[in-house]
Amino acid sequence: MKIWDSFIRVYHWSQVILLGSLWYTAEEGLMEWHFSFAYLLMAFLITRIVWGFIGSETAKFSHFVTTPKKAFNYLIAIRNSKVSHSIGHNPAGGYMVLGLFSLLTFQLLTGLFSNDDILSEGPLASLVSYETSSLLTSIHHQSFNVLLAFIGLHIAAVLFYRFKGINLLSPMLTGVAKLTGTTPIMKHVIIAWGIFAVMSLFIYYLWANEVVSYLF
Amino acid sequence: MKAIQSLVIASTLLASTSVLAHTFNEANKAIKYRQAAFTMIAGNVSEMGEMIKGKTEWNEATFSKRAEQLSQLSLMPLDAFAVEGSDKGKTNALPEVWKNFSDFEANFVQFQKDTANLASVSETGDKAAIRKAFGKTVKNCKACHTDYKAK
Repeated sequence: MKIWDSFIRVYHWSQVILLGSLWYTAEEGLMEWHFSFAYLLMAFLITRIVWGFIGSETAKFSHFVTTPKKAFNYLIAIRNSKVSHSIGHNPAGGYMVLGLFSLLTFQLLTGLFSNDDILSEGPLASLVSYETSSLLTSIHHQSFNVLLAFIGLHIAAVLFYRFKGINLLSPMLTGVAKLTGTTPIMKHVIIAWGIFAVMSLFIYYLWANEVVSYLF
Repeated sequence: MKAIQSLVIASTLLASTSVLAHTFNEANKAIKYRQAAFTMIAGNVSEMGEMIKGKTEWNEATFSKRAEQLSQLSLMPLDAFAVEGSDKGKTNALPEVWKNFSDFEANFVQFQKDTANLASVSETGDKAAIRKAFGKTVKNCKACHTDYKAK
């Protein structure tokens, strides 16, 4: 059955590529590229969050956000070697998704107020004092490490399932998994791409045109 | 007469024993001197950066003036880093500056070379070459800030 629609899959892998690129460009001081990738990630993340309310069943927050008790019980069950393949995010994984979205939002917001102490500053940095901007820059650097820890945990979990005979990677590539139960309702991804297009254009006219016109 | 004579002698003695505290023998002054130089460096780099990025209109004369000033300014801070005790106090310079002084110095000398190159390239009016030389200069800032400047 199909468990992940194509928007979710493209979102997932774009996020991977963009985060890698954001890290690299920050290390190399390629700030115009860093800004461009961040704006793109922002458009993706906003679309993903909207899709979490109106999208396919497995994309919805209402589908994967459970009570902490359920997530805890799920982890206990894993400990007792009862590992199962959920349709969509599992109860514990749902919290991982929330954590990652929160951290990404936090990174994007602090980035808007950051400066690199040389030639670049986020589009909102001029709204706060230089000291505040520098403080937010240092938070932006440190919270990236927290994000890395979350990503590490996510990959470790996927490897753990693999080790237990459950392949989570292939559904995230193909969208399809061999599972029994009710097939989740998929929405037309054209809606998601429509939202993405509107968000991209909005961010482009608001902030991104400056760095993009410098690069090209 | 005697009184004047002793006054002259006394003041000569006072003057000769007191050495004026200045940048190169007093840590706090050295720190302020460095920071002043970096403020001026940042000022010149910023305006060039705005022109390079197209935020302000390209003006060749202004650009080469800024480049020339930057080149001169880049010669200033290094001596003040050598002042004893200037690693303590109100400075954003990390202890690593003094731990790896030869590396820090080498980086700084590279910066001086790149700014000198930028100043001469900016005289030619070749915008592509100026862009490249500017990028190379600014890379030095990033390299040193990462290792030697407190965040």
